[in-house]
Amino acid sequence: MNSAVFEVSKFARLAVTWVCIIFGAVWLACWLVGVFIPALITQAAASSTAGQYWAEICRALVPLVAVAVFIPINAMFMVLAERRALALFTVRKGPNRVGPDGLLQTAADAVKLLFKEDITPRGADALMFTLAPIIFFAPSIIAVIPLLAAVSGNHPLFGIANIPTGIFYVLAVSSIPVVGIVMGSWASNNKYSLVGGLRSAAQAISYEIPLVLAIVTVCLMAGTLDVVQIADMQKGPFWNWFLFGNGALAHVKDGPVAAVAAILLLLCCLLLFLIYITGACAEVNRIPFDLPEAESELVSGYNTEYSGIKFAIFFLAEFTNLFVVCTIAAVMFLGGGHSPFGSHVETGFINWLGAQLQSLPGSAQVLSPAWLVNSLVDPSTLSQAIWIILKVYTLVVFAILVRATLPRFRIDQLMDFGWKRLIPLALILLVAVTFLRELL
Amino acid sequence: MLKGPVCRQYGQAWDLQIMYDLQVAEIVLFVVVGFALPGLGMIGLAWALQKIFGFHTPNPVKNQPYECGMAPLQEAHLQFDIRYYLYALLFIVFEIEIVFVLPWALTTDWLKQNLHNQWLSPVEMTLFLVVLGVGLAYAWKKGALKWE
Repeated sequence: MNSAVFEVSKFARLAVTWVCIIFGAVWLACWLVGVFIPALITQAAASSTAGQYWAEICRALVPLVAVAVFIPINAMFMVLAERRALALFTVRKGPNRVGPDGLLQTAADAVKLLFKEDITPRGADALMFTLAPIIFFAPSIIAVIPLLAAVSGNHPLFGIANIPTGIFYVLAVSSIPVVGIVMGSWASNNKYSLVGGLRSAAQAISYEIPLVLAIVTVCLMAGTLDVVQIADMQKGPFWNWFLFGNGALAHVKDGPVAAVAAILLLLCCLLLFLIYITGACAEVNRIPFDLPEAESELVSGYNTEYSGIKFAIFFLAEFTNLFVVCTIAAVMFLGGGHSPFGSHVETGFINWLGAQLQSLPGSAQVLSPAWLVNSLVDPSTLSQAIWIILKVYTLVVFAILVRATLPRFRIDQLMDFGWKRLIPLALILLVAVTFLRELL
Repeated sequence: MLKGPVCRQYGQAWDLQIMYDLQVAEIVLFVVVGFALPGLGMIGLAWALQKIFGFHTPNPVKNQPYECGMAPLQEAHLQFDIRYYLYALLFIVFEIEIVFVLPWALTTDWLKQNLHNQWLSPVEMTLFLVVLGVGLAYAWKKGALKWE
């Protein structure tokens, strides 16, 4: 028992270290590009229009820099976390050699994969074989960018990332990766790959519909597609989340009809979340829906022939996709960056930290040490980031737990579950939510 | 200019056309970055490393497609049976249905305020979805949702 606690604490320590590394790196990169370099430019070209112009351009680059820094490090962390967590669940050690307590295992793997020989199998379509990992990875990067606006609590520097059709755009983009899988599987001239790619296409078209219907229902309740607005609607205590019907329970006191409607709405929202999570697991090919790369049947499925950096891209993209769907769930259902205990604690912390920062001597003078600290620490973004990190990685750990728990579906069970259970349920829930809202 | 929920968020100062152009520009930028990062940053880097260090040495055995250690019996580019043809047809129907549902979902509150009838828009959408549901039930009954 004690050794189990010890192992769990080691895992927690590793996770906390990595999360600090990821978000410290992203935070520093954003600060450098968004605050420090523009300040240097404006200092150098004192108040000339050209200086202002270049400073603005530099600030606009922040979301792109954040994505470029965030995605590789985050995927490395998630791979390591998955391996360590699976080792925990199956009572093994897991990778623990490279770096302190296995901390650098995936960094070493990344370097190894970068230097590995890139093999194109005989008879393969070389162009498609190279394009497939790019087409598989690009959508997850493109989808992360608008979500960054919600993650950062609509920080002004991320203004460019926040597009008005936010969630619609994210959903549209995140259905592209399957094209990359099918391309790669067809191009690699391998029968295992081909079967994996075909399964992947069948799975993607089956689980896309319930997933999108669940999101559409949330958009119906929110009345907007903008991820930042949807997150802001769930401000306050946790019963304001869309997971719990966006404050439906407050209507319980309004008479019997409203009470019944409120409780039914709550149940509908819980079911919607379950549908979303199931569909998301299938979309990103996680166990129990990992038929495209079922290693006991298809060697490695669609990426059997891939090696070196192309394989690494497939691997990174899978984990980035998992992160994207978990972030969508956190923003749409779990209140985004808002605290689950109401905003009192948050506001108190933000005001306190803000006051501390304001009282630093000489912080008005640009490029002084106090100014550096003051511009680096942004209390409200910090609190939003901490909450959303907690929510997203809790969902990621849940996905890993599901992987360690459930066996794989058979393909006919998979299609039946998608078409005969989830889609009718999602349609019924959409209609039910439409009417229940009117009764409140 | 439209006065719907789409414009509501941006006030009257924003012209819809400007908003649209801006969004297209942003999306183009995102797409360029999204393809540049894996394309140039990863595959390009690995390719450059191979050129510099010269560890790219293909040979016939290494490049053989993997088939459990045996020489492959035939090419994998063969005619194959897509089992999910009917599912794909249904998928197209449902996907387009979602595209129809989304604008309705966004305007339903606005309709409620402006038509002074809170039941009109839910009932309309229910009729639309019932037609789809009947279609799904028919496909189910006919055995289109059976994986053989």
